[in-house]
Amino acid sequence: MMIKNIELWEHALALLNDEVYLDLVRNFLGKVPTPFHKPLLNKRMTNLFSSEEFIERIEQSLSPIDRKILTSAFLLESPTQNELCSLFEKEVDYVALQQNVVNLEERLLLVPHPNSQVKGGELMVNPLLRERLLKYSLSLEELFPTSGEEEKRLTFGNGQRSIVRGLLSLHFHDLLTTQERSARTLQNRLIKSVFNEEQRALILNFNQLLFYTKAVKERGRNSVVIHKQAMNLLSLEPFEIQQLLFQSSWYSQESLNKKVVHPTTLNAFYTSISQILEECVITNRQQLLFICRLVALKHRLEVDDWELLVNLLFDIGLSSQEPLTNSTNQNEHLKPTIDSDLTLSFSHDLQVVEGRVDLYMLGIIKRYDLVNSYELNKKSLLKAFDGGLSNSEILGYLEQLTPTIPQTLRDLLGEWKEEYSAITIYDGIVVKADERLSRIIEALPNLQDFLIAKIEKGIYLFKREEESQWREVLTSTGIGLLPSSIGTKEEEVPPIAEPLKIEDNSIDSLSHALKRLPKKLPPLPVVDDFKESLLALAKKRGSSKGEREELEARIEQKLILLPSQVVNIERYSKTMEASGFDFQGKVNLCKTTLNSPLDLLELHLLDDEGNSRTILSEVKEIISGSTTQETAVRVSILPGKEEKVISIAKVFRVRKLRRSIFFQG
Amino acid sequence: MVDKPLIVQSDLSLLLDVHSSSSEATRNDLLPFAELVKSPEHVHTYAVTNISLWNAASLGIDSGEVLRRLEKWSRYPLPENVIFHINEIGGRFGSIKLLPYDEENYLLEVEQERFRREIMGNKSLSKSIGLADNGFIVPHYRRGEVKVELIKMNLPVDDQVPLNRGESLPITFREVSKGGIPFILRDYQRLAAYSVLGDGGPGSGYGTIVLPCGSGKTIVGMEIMSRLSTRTLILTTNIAAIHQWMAEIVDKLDVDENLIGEYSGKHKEIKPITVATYQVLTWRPDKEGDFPHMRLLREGNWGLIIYDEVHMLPAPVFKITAELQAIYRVGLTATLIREDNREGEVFSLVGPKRYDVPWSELESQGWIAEAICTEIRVPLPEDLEIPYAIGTKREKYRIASENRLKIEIVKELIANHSEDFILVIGQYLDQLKIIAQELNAPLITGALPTEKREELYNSFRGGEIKLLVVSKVANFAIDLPDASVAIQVSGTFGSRQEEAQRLGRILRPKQKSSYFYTLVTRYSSEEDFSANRQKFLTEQGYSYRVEVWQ
Repeated sequence: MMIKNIELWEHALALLNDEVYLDLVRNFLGKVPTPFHKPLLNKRMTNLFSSEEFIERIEQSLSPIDRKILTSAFLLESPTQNELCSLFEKEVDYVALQQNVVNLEERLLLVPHPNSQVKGGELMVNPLLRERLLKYSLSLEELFPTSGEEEKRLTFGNGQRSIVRGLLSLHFHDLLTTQERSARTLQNRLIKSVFNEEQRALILNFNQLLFYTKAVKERGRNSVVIHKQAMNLLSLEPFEIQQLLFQSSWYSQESLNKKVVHPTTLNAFYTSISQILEECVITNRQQLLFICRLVALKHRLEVDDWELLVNLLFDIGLSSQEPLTNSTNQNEHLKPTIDSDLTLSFSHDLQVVEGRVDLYMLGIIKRYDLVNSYELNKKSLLKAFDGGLSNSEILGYLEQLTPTIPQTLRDLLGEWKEEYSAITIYDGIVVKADERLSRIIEALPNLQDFLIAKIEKGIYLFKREEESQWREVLTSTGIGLLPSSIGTKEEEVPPIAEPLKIEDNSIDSLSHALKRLPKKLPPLPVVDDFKESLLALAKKRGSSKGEREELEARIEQKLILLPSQVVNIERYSKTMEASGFDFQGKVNLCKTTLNSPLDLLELHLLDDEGNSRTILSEVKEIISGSTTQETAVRVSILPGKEEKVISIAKVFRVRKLRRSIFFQG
Repeated sequence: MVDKPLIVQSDLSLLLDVHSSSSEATRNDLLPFAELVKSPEHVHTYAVTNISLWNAASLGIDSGEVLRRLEKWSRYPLPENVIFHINEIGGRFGSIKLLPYDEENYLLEVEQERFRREIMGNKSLSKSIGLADNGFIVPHYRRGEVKVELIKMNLPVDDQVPLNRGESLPITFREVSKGGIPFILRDYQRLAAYSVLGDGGPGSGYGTIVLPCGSGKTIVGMEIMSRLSTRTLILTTNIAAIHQWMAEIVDKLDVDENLIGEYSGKHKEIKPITVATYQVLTWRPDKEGDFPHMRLLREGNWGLIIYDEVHMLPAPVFKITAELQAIYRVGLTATLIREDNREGEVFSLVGPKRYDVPWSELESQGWIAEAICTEIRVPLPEDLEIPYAIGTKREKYRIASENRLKIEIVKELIANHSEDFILVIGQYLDQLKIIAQELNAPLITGALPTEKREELYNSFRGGEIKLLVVSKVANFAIDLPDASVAIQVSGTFGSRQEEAQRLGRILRPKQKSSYFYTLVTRYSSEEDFSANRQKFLTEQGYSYRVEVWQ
């Protein structure tokens, strides 16, 4: 047994007040004379919780929901009782769930966390038992049982860099414009031809990511690619791009959380979600919702609309379909190839290569699929020249991608570069032209209105304020692409929204816990059913009916696991309740829990149509009536704490339950 | 381990890595259900379409078999949507059958109620068909029209009505042609013919064959004629082509010459084998009147109709072809690109694409000549710079096309190819006249009488003339086996089909390479049109060197 675990355990016991401590110790060790010697008792408790027989019986006593709660507590490390309950409130009745957690506290399977900073206290899995439970009782399968049917697991797809590059290509080559209009263009025209219709939401989110990261900016009615930012984005690992995609998509959904959430929290959340998806076979939406709740608790991420969050995960690429390019076998890859029709095709992820060139500048994406294809043509390469690239840079880049570049492309590049270089425009005012264009500039009648002066041979001064008009006239002469002005100041762009490498311990701890948790449990060794023998012993040792009932109640609640515990002690483990026409009894129970930090009331109600429902509540006020029957109670209903006034006449049963063994409300 | 060269994309396109050792086997497996889209040098693209799936199904290759073949060759697992689509769409075939009914009608048997309702809801269809117990009654003459309409609704018809066998006419190949050359059918020619005729069962007997110029499409047509041995009508683009067909038939088929007739503007012979032009069929005395010669199609009691250069099929012939669905029919072309985008109708009415082979493949096997393509860029003379700059788009193109400096290059090229047979091809007559004059070469245009044209072609074939200047009349169906250099001085804007057909003039296999030169005015719109023109050929694996004339 690790000393650290014993210290933690003793530290947890030390947090209990004497009354609770004594009560618990008596349950496990039998009669304890007072005054007691706490260190000695702790030692005896440690011995008990370390004994093989006792631990085996604990393992046998765990119900499926016990295991789920304990597994979650292990993953969350230090959850509160409310947090644990919130995880399962959809699948288990809340009253039963809350009492189950209380029962695990009483069985000392959950103990107070010594380092808790949270009001109301945090719990942890009993450190003495943790290792053993991890071996035989806790597993991922407890949380995500496999259905037996062949279901496909949910995973995040790949191809993030390829999608980013494809969209950058469309923006760079003026096929997409502002954020709003580009979303429309993508949906209307490009979603089918370039992407898949099923990827509609994903592609729109990626397009949004470009604006979010400022790799693309709106300029007037158009968009411009900010090359440095674009390269930053492309240089990220696919996982990091996906993190940013989650961030930008989160921020675009206002109803997810009205409060401002720091990107670090979002990154941590996404990282943990993807880790769980890697470790566990998650196949459906319900399981995903559970994971979201679990991970959100872990990272203290408040979510207002869980369904929306799950939808968002699907919209950023979560899918049960096989990722497009799943193979890791390099031999299977279609290496970048330029065909005679100047189509560049490749499968799998194309890394960013050293230098300032990327494919998005050279070609126009035609298809994003298992094989991506880009068309290289005059228009696209003139645009690359306009982006500041030289022929040798372009060829150098292509040579890094593929050993065979068609001679046609080499020929054409030379031609197009010469054509592009025939004219240079400085600051929207000075035009330097080659001999052929100089002749045209000087002789073209409808250009003369814009020409201020010929500075020297081949250099002209034009009217700056009429730049767009004289550009139009020059273009109409048949120039393929009139270069952008040199000297226009490039906008300063802030770095990508937040640092991308997250150093967050909470991610590490969850990741660590996930790795330690077995995927599946080995079968437990078969042992005799000890409950019957304990009940028989209780019958024998209970000297009165009350004592017998008390012992039986403790056995039922799994507080007694060994014959040595079948000892009459001064304790009342049965649940106090009043029902039927015992209105006074019901009111009395309400009174005993009024504003109690220790107790809660379970109320069984009948509505007007005769349907019954059960609520767990804190009693806030007793409202007396003229008769006991007319008494009403103002209660706060858990877990939402909604307040209501309920007539005692409508309550057919009242049960007094404990809020927590360790903590006060 | 078997190399898997196929990548199945989620848009149902299939990419074939041609450098794989299994690419040939894969291609053969794909052909029945996928259409070749492009075949550049490294990665060939095929498309699985609804129609290609149904055509495959009609030949007995159902969705399960399609998926099995894809899985066999695919490098990666098939995308789920592809599996779903093939099962869903391919599975539709067979739910609607066209069956014989009575002397005037067929029965369109529709199994599923939802399809019946869909058909009844279609206004244009409901006018053409009548109700029957288990489907609809379709008049014989509406057969094609109804099928086309149903295909538009994604409802394929399993046409089980046998085609008419037509009047018998013994046709066999000669072992040695009349010209004294031993004749052997090439494998791909036999395969192309088989792909149309199949085993003669339902779903076969009609289709389109796409083969490169110079690869012997006429021979494939004749193989189909010999296998069906029936009265045959051959439709082609011009009189020279009629004569070429007739000459080939006489040379290679063991058929009495008297049984072969020409139906053209000049001759109106209707014989068991008749060769006609599209023009004569679509001639009519006035704009609103009937087409008097269309009855040749309807009333000729043909057992087979061959549509040569089917991409040129004129619109009025579409309509009548829809009525001739009971006849065996085959379309032949090198470039199934129609500038009016009506390729789909060719597939529906004449028949689907049954055979297509990459040009590069036949080139590597030596069945067509290797062609070296060069684009030469020519500066615009200074005095034309301003007229060009201020011209409209059309004027700009004309100025660039007729650039007089091109003549100098033509002269240089001719000098460089003094041993070759050379065609100078252009669009603008004025330009061609000047070139012909400067080169002292004969000029063939539409204005030249047919006899004179044929005389010049024959002189060229015979070696008396080694240089011809030709307009677009020589774009199609002109067989000049020895031509090995083509110099293109101008063309019809960005016509990909014209470019391919012009290259086709020099593709007849010979002992040496062929040269295809395109002269383009530098820094002009002609460059862009030229790039567009080259698209079909670059997609077939041809590369153009680009040179600048200084």
